[in-house]
Amino acid sequence: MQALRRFLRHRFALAGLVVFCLIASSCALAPYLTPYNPNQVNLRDAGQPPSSAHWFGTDRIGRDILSRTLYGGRVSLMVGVLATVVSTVIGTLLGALAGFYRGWVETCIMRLTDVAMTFPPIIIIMVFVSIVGPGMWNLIFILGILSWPGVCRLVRAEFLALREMEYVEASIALGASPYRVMFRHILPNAMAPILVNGSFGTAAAILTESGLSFLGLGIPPPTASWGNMLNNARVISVLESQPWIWLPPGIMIVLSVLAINFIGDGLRDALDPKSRQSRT
Amino acid sequence: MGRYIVRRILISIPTVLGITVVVFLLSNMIPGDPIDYMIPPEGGIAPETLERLRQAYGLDQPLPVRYAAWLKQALTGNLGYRFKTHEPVLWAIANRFPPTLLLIGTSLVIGTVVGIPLGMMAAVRQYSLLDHLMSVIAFLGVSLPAFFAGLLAIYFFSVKWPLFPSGGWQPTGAVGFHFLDLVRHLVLPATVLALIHIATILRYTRSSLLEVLEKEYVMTARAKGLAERYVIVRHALKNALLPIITVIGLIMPTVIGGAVFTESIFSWPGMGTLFVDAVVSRDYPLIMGMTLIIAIAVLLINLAVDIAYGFVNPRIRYE
Repeated sequence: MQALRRFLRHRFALAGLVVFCLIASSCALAPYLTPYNPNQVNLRDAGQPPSSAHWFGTDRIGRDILSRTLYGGRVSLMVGVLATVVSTVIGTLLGALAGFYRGWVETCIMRLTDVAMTFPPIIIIMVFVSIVGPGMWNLIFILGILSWPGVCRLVRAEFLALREMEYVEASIALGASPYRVMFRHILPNAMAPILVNGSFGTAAAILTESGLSFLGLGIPPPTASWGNMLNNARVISVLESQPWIWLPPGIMIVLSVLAINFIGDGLRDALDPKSRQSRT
Repeated sequence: MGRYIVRRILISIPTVLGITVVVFLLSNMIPGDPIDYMIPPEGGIAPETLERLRQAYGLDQPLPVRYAAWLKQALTGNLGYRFKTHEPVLWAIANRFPPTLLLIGTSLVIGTVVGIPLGMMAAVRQYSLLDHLMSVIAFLGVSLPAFFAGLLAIYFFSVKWPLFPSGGWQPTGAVGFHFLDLVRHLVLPATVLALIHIATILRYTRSSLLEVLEKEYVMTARAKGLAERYVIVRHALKNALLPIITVIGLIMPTVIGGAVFTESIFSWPGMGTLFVDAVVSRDYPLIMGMTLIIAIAVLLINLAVDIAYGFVNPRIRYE
């Protein structure tokens, strides 16, 4: 309760939550908000500036930008959230094993984490894309299995501290299985930083997806995503004289990532009062 | 100090080996093997001949044996040849290295020169309107992706108001080297890439300075009656800036990621554009060679940063 109150007092976080809910719900309700099929080509209406019929205008082959932006948001947000869920699960499992068992298990996992962290994420993600190929599910899988090192380190640190607590000793003395101790007793107490990390991770995953799609390595057309809509701006005439084609998806990326980062900041303040001074 | 450096170097050797194992395993995940790529299947060459070729190149050996052979080659600088141009991978990378170094270096300088004063302002007036504004700027910096910032920069500063060129690093058809031309081409990409550094450095400077301002020697300095400016610049800032050196190492992976997008938007002829080309055309030897070199570069930079930190902060000693 106290945490909720602290979160609500964080004005930026509250604004972020409102903006994110607005974006997410309008993407979810896309079929009811726009009469146009996002992939319907209509060459007669190609390249039109915003008008009452097409609020955000149309692209070079006459598809409605507003409906592409909304449907694209579904893809971008889904990739961001699902990829983060996958990486959080992997990172939490590895971190929990390392922090609970110590010894050679910890050494192996942490050396692996060290190695994984020397590769710049975007580089190793692009290597995987070049092997597995683009596509939404591939992207979720790739981002998911490559973004765990941060969570892993975090969970390990939490487990290292928590395993020395008396309630852990008590449950081991009562004969609880290691599985039970790790996931029923320790994990719930380590949830706060995992959640905070997850929100920042979602923001990062959305940025990565749009970056890859922008380069033509993410969501393949005709399916819309914010990133591959921005890709249209690589044609110099579109960039110069048809800003309505590339501004909406770009603004949506910035708005949603900003909103999620603010939510994460609010969560950190609310759930982890210790780190209050270190926030920006 | 000498022992600290030696230990720090020894510790990174397993990581280097780990990096090579990862890159080797990755290059084995590629569909097909080098023979498939060198000899087109429609060439009508008998499968037995291909099999003999595989044996001749040792491709039928078990993984560890092939890893050892590959590592020996890589250590002597032989990273293979590009599929597309048959140019040695190491050359291709070496040619693209200087522009990237220039871009990343300039952007780091901009990030530091702008980020540190902004962070100082925020810390000195903690919880003021200015502090909140800085906080929004910092969040915007990490939320505005380089590819969108780059598009905006080109749209406003080379299309609407044609102040700077929109791409490349010298005018088309230019002969020789002109310093001013280079600077004009560098302004937009370096600034775009610097946005995220400004945000990160601002945040670290702020929190590190706030921490130092609580210290007793700062209180002493104030009690002596020194001017507040003097206390902050002479006493607090010096100690607050030490951790910023580590930040440069920490943000290196992000910097390289940002450089990939920035270079590709501004057609900057560096390693970023080369890497995107390699991935798009599935030039696997080039992809793997670049991954190896980039990872080792990140490791070396972190090593250098740690050693530099040991020099400037005598309190840090490796046990």
